[in-house]
Amino acid sequence: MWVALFLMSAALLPSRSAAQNPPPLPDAIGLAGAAVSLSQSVTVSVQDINELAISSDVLLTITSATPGSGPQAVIDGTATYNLTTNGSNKKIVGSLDSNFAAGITLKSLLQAPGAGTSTEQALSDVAVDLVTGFGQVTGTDLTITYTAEATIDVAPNGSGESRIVTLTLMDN
Amino acid sequence: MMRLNAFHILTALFVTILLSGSLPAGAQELRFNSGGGPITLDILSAAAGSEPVDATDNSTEIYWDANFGVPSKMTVSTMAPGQNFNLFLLLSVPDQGAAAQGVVQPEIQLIDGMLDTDLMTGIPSTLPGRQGFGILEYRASATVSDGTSTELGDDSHIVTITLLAQ
Amino acid sequence: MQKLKAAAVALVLFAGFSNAAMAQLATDNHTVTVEVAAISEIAITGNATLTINSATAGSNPDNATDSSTSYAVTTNESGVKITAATDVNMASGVTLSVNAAAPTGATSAGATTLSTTAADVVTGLGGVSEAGMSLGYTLAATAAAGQVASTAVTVTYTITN
Repeated sequence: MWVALFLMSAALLPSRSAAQNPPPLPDAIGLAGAAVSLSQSVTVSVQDINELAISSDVLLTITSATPGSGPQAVIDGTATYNLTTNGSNKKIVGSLDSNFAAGITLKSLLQAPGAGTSTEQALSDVAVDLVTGFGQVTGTDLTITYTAEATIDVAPNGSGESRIVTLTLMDN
Repeated sequence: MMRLNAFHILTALFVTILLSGSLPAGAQELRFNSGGGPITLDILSAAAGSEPVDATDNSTEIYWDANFGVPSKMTVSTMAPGQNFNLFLLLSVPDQGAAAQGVVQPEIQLIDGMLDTDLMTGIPSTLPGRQGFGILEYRASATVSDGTSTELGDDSHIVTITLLAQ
Repeated sequence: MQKLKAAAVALVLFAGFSNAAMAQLATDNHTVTVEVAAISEIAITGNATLTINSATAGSNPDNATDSSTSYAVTTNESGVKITAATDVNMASGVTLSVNAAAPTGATSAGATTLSTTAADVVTGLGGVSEAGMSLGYTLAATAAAGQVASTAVTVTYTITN
């Protein structure tokens, strides 16, 4: 009789669904019905980021002179560069893939990012410091000013001499 | 044969109820449905001229059953001693049909030692709305002026989500 | 022992290359072209005044000279020359000539009679920029030329191949 009563009661009571009562997990902490919490370990890591991009090619044409003086230098400020670095104490150096013919000089002056110091330098196949002492900075459309000079000994060179100018971001 | 009386019947019922464990006030629940282990958000790139690109992680899904008998909410806090970089959390609830009812709060910035901040409010006390699934959408952000982990080390957070009566 | 030495040398070399590679954090390049065009420029300084107003009895009038003017030249071309021409020819019996000093590396043609036809005054210029070269004018007239009213004459100097 007792068994019958038990079986009848059990049949009448609603059963739990899996959605209502899924298996407990070790990271679920019951707090006596007041609240329940989860914790998760989250790490944020920031890598060293250094990016530099130059905008466009440049053509400088030396076309005139004052009589009695050498050819007039030509200045171009159309090229720009963008920069991102999250490190400290950086510099930019510049170099050519090969030197220009004797008598032709190409100088470069970069607009400095942030608090950097910029110096106009003649470019050659040996890298020279163009901007020093900056860090943790972004810069967009920073100007690259080129000055081309030629001595009177340089003969007309047709469509000109082309060189690849490389700018490199480095530790100071 | 023994005659059954009211006492016998009530006793049988009580025993049955005890054995089945189905008390009317069921346990509240908050658990990881997927993921939940340690995660790392790695900020590692930028376009030249721009700030670093944010890192995101959407790998953690939680499940809740706010069986408090009253409206409830979820909050978030974090501990991250010596924090240097920015971390944000948004609870994304893709399906707010019949289940997962409540008001999802805007993205929250996780700051070391912050007070518990509302993540989702107004969770009803009744089914099916009191139950739901949501994605923990983490977003890490840093500017160039924040520095790097090379110089400062990583930020280590213990993020705590709490489901409680509102 | 030999294997150990080789390994040590390899390790040092590898470290050296790694350090060089790590020093370049980011790089980009572009092409810069420098074109030098043909440039030839000449400029004259000053005007000359020549007056014939004396003679020795029994001889033609004395020549008048003026060396107060000069010229400056710049050319990056080679094998060019300077010619000179007047806008009007001299009256019959009157001769105007110029002796243009040559810049370095070039040759002066010496005293050259000027007319409306261009005449070489300096040849063999190339890759030169100089100023202050003198232009020595000489005006001569025969007695038969008679009295000639004052005339302004423009002398044009041209750098040409």
